[in-house]
Amino acid sequence: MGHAASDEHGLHVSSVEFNLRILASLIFLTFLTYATASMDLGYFDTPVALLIAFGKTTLVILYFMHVRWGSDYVKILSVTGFVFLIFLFAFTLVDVGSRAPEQPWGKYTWPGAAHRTTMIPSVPVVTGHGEHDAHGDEHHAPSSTHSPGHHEDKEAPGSHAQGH
Amino acid sequence: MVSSSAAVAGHDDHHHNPHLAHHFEDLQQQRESHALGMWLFLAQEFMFFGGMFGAYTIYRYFYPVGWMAGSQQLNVTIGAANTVVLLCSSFTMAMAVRAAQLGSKKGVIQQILLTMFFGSVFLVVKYFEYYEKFEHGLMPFSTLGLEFTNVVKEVPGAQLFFSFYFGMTGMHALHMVIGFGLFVWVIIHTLQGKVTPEKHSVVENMGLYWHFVDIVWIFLFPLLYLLGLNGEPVIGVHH
Repeated sequence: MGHAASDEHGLHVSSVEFNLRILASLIFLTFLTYATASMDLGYFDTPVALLIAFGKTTLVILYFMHVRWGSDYVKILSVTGFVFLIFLFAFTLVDVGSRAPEQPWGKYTWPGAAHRTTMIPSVPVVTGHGEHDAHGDEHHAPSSTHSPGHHEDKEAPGSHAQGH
Repeated sequence: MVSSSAAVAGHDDHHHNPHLAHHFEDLQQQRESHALGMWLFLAQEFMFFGGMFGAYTIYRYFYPVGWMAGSQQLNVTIGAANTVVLLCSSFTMAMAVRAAQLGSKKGVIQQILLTMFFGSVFLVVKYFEYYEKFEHGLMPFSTLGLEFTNVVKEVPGAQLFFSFYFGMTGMHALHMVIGFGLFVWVIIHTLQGKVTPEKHSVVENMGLYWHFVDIVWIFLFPLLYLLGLNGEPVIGVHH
């Protein structure tokens, strides 16, 4: 009676093999995202990682959470949270992105801040533990500044992202 | 079995399906309503965690180097291994739902116990990770009597990264611990014979919750752990 009742009421039962295939795909994508993160993709490092994460999420939602075979109500609800998150991210980031340099912490932001090639050299290399002794003479960094607050003196001439 | 005549006859009909609550037309409507309620809760949960991801994004925009330096203090191999462990627990959870659909009481309990096993492995690893961060002076909560003493604090924003790291992974772990309590309840429910092929929404909704927790980690892993691989070391990694 069990199986008959299930079919009769439109219940979808995934086979063991199907579930295993989804698991294998998810593990494969985990290794893929590890591999792509280790490669130098420049600006695309994070977008690619997020794309793979959304791919994994889609697999979980459609097949493990059975939304693929769910009612229309469930299908709509399963994307509702994400839709509202798009609003949250879009409006907040537009706001923050257009005003950030005026913020007191804006001095730690510079053009191309999201891209590593412009940001890594701008950080003093701290090699020891004593940060207050020997200000300026035993650092291996090309810049002699130690306090990040001094960055604006040295960094990115012609930059417009400094707070002043 | 549940004919339309039974639905029309209503309460007084003694042939009424014992698995069907009075206020539903049929089993399918009953099951879909249970799923709908759970998805409403999960939509709210997506937004709850989404708020944290939003804050993460903004502060990462302000402190890109601090984020990079902080992320490089995390152990990517352990993070990746834990991701696989959590994915396995999602698989066994899906198998528990399958067992419930097929009416296998034993299968439900076996698969839930396996899910709890994978979940425990994840949390134990997380505990050792947290402890290592504590040892390395990477705990940012000075109000709790802890202090961020690691040299990484030289980089603006690195300490904030660790506030996000502990906040987000901690909230994720809390959801798993709550999940463990729910698992025990589902097992008791199953042992009492209340899980049948006709009515097993308890197991299905438990599955939805657990898969949701898995999805949160699917995003936490690249954003917290893999980020550090994107650039050269900001600061010597103190492992």
